[in-house]
Amino acid sequence: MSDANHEQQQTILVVDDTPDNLAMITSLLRDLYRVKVAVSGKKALQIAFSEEPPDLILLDIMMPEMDGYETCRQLKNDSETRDIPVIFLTAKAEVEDEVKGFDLGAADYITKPVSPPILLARVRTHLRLKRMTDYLKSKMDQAGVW
Amino acid sequence: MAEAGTYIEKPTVLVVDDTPDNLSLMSGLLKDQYKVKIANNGERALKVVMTGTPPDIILLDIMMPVMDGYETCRHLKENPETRDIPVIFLTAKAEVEDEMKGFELGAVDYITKPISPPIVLARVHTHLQLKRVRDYLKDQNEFLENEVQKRTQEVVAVQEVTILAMASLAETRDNDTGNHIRRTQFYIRALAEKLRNHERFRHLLNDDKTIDLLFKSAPLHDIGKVGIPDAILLKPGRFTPEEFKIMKSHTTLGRDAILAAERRLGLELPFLAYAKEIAYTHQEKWDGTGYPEGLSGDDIPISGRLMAVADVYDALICRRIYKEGMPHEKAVGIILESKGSHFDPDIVDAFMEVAGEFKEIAKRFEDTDHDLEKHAKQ
Repeated sequence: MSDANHEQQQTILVVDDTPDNLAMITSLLRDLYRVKVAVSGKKALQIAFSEEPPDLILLDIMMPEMDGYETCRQLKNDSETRDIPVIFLTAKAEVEDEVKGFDLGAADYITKPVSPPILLARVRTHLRLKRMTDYLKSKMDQAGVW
Repeated sequence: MAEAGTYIEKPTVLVVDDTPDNLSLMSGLLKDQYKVKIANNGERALKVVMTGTPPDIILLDIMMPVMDGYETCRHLKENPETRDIPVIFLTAKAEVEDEMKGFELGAVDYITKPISPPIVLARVHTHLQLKRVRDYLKDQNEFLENEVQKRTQEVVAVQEVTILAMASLAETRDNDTGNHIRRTQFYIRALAEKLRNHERFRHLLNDDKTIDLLFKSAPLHDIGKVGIPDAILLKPGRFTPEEFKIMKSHTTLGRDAILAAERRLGLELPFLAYAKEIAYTHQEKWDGTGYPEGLSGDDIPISGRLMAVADVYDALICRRIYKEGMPHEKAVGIILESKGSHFDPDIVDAFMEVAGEFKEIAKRFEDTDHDLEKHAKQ
């Protein structure tokens, strides 16, 4: 499994209500991944439940109407989207909030302002983990032992 | 793999920090789920990693006296034995430039101090999981590669057993002791090796696989003798023309036996191609006076031409219960006289060069009195 080849085809959904943030994060990722964007939790859910779901979601917490927590809850409640890793983007870094996010099933946090190497490292880690786990699951399904 | 996320044993986390308070904080946080080892400087950390069971993940403080986290990480990533252990840096500062440096050294992530317990637990869990799945896949690949190699060896072994079983059938019917088969096998290889770079034969012989197949197929040259009646096969004196005609059919019988076996299997086996050729054409002569086809020159397959020299030399030098073998030098003389008539001239030239090897092979697989007597009783 060569990482470089596979990552080209993996899709990341970035969810943030601030267009500047979307533009900045997209510019960091688009050389390595396919990037989709959504400006609200509702739009994010539409994309996540579409024919081509993303492999990973970067999810802002503070958004009007449906916030990141609620969006995450809905994603984790449905078996179709449950296995998509969610990384929260957050301005605050309080322990209480982090517990809440992890309880909802988030994979990790990235604190804003975003550090490019940190963003790339965490995205890469969770995409790899997902790809390998998916691969193993498919093998186990084939062998009927999962 | 039972369940993703369940370990048979608790994974080991090595925490490296020069501040005792930080070490005890981390230990307290991790010890329920993991086996925790601690080190209060980089040198100690390397020692812990190199002795005993290596940790599954390392949490590494950057700012430490003597050897800092960067230097420690560099050492870990330079050593093939420790390279694959994920390293997460613990850092008080959160500057982009420093983060670049850590990732370039091979770290997988950062945890900013003061630490957030859920973040520490999540990142440790993630990277242990990633390492575990990766190790598992690596093991599986290695397992599959070994399996393929094992199967290949089995197939080769089956081929060899097939040839030897067939050859030994022919052997038990004949006067031969079994050593004839061994000797001719080695003669043909010596000739082929000598000729592999010869301009006339290069395109036919210049690869190890071909030579190996010739070596393995040679024992089947007289397989057709199983179809010759004992009265003729074992007759000590000269054959009548009628008997000789039957005797000569062993070439055709041999090839047909292999063909019939292939037909029953329903597939043509490449490894038997030389065996068929050798069985069918080893009695052909360069000048066209041989049998069964009366082929001449290059129309005789190279395998048959090589076998002819090997077979005649061995028939000349080998002992029988009723006769002594001819001395090596005399046999060489006879082969040389038949250059261009019975044998391919270039093969005879090669034979002259490796005649010493033939003599050694003959000696190595010489028929002892015991061999001859044992065989005579059968």
